[in-house]
Amino acid sequence: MRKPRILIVEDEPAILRLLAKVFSEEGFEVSAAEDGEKGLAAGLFGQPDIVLFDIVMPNMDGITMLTRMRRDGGKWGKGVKAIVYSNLSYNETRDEAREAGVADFLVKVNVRVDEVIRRVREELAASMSGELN
Amino acid sequence: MKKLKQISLFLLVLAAYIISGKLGLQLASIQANATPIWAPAGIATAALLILGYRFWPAIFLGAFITNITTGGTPVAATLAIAIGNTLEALLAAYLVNRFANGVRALDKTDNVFRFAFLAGGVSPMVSATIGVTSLFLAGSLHAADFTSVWSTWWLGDVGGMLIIAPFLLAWFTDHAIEWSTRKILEVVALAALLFAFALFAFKGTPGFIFVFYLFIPVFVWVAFRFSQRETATVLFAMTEITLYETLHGEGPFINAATTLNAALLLFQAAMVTIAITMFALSAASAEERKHAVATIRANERMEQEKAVDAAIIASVGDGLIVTDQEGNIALVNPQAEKFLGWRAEEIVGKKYYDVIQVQNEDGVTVALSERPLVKTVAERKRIASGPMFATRYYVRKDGGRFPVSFTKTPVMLGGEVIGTIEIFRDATKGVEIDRTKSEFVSLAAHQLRTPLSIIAMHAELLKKQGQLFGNHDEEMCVDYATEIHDVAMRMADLINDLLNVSRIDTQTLVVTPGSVNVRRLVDGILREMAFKFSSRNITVRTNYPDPAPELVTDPHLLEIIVENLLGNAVKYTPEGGRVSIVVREEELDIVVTITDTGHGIPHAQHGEVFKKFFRADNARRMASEGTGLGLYIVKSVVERLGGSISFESREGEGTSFVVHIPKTSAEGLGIPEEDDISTLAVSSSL
Repeated sequence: MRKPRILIVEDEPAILRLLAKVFSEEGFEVSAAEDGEKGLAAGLFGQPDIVLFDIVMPNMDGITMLTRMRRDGGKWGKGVKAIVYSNLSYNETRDEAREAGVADFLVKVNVRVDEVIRRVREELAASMSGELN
Repeated sequence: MKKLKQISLFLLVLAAYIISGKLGLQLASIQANATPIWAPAGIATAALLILGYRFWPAIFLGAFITNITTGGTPVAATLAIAIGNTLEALLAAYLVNRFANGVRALDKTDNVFRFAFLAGGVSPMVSATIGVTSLFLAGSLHAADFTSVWSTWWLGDVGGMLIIAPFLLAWFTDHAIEWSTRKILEVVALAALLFAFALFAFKGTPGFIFVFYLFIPVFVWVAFRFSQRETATVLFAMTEITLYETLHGEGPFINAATTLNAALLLFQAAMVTIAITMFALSAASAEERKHAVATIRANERMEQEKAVDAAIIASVGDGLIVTDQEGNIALVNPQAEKFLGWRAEEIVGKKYYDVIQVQNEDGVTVALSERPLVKTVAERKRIASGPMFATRYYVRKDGGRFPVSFTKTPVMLGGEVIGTIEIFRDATKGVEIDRTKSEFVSLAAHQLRTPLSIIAMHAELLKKQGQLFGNHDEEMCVDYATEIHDVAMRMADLINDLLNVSRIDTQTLVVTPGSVNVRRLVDGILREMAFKFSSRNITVRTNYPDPAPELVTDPHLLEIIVENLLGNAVKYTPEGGRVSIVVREEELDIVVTITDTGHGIPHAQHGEVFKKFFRADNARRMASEGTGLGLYIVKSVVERLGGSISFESREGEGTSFVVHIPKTSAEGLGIPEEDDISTLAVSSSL
């Protein structure tokens, strides 16, 4: 069985480094990007199984990035799982995120790293079973 | 006590009835009980009106005593006459109470006529009919005399009703007029005129009845210039004089008739006619005076209300615009003039739409159909700006615009909109506050949560490491501890920034002056920041005058200024760039110029650089981290130290900030202003 592949898009280097390390250790194939533009390129190119991304980032924000992936990424773009990992908690942002097709919305200060991993695994499992059906 | 009073009144009515009755009956010539002058009818009616119906026994008794002692009238007939007289007074009093406003019958014209008809005309018929019939039945009267006795009886009572009763009523009810010297002179003149006319009428040319009409203008004068009380008094007086003269064979009436009875009837008829006319005139004149006074009062009240309204409209802090049915501006208050830049006389009468242009946020003029005024009129309800509506802007006379907060209320009359009232104000401050608030919330959410989550994540993983016995990854532990430390410092900086902003905003930034060597201070900061510069390969050059200048200022605040400017320079300068710090000494100031070869500030945003929470578009694009507080703090602190700051910047080339700081602490430094002291305690606890 191949490794699950995750794309992490996060402009805060400390968080990006830590998440990359943790997900590698958990057996993921990790690609990392530090803003929306780079994340979009990495996503379209690498076609990961899941995207974990921040919203407020330089150059391109996370929602725009996901919207572009969905639009330009063909079959992969339409189906790829996406989880917001942000410190914004406004309802408006949440609505925008839902519209862009976000599977989950995590607020950084409120979730532990363990929880992030669990949620990512859950989403992946759901998508796998979906594929089987 | 009360009983005694009642008995006295009873006796008084009784006595008045008997005395006046006796006097009246002395004039009875065609039949002992029928007299052309019968004052008791008026006395009785007035007594019942004023004192109440329960005084009827006084009248009955009075009538009985008066008639029983007169010319040997049979007891049965006397009883009947007494009943008739009592019924007459009761009926008159009842009818007047019921239909003519009782004792106040003389106040109004229509009541005067009702009184004349009911009390004067109808009621005496009862007395006359009962009295004359009983005399006839008792055999004291021939059938042939029935009509003449009846009409004498009737007319005698009419006179009593219309001369005596009004006189009593007028004196009883309060018709006080205001007496002045002028009024008194008027009374003297009137009395003289009356006297002269009386002399002429009764002692002068005899025989011609129309002489009596001389008095009419005098009565009219009294009726118009005085109240019912004076009118009634003059009529009463004239009646008595004329009666006296006629009885003594003088005056026009006695000469116009063949018998005394006829003369008295003639006189009575004249007096009654005149009395009705005069009371009506007097009432009309009183009504008009009352009306005039009421009108004056109402006008005064209206003037007063108008003045109050005007004062309210002028003193309202909001703008006020009233439009009429056609959408023309009808009224503008001074505040609205101020907001719009128009003077009232320039715009009143013009179409509201033509004068006030409405724009949306992007400066696009709002279509007429979308304008709040149109909606107010169309939907017939109050419309107010608020969170439900997009922000609207009003265009001023000079073309400038301001965000507006308004309430428009339709003025309804019978289901029709006949105009609108608009209250509005310049909402610039509100919009600004809203923006600042939301910016602060996003700042707190993002900038404070991010470092906090970094700390939490790393601490979480460190803890996990600690729990794995014998499997310590030392390198990782140091790395994570370093991350935690770095980010904690970042948070501390941010919190310092927020505290400084709070001190600035509450004007509690304390200045503690000391001697400062600029070179030492700048070099110290550069040493602390050395890693930031070197890690991004940015070269720093400094240039100080020799010897390095000393100044007296707050070293800590000066540090804040330099740190922030250098921090920006390194943050927004690409790798391999250059930063220079040049210190220059002027006569009064030390000038610090910090120049970088960074991204620069977009020209369009130069005006906003020092605003709270402002971050240039390119800065936002390049780094999401940043509060937009740094330059706001710098400018505020510089000004607190009595200095000034300016900058030059070109996008893509770099930025140069020039700070002037006075060399000696000028006034305003060191000692906070007095009203700051109370807030100092608060700030020191921060």
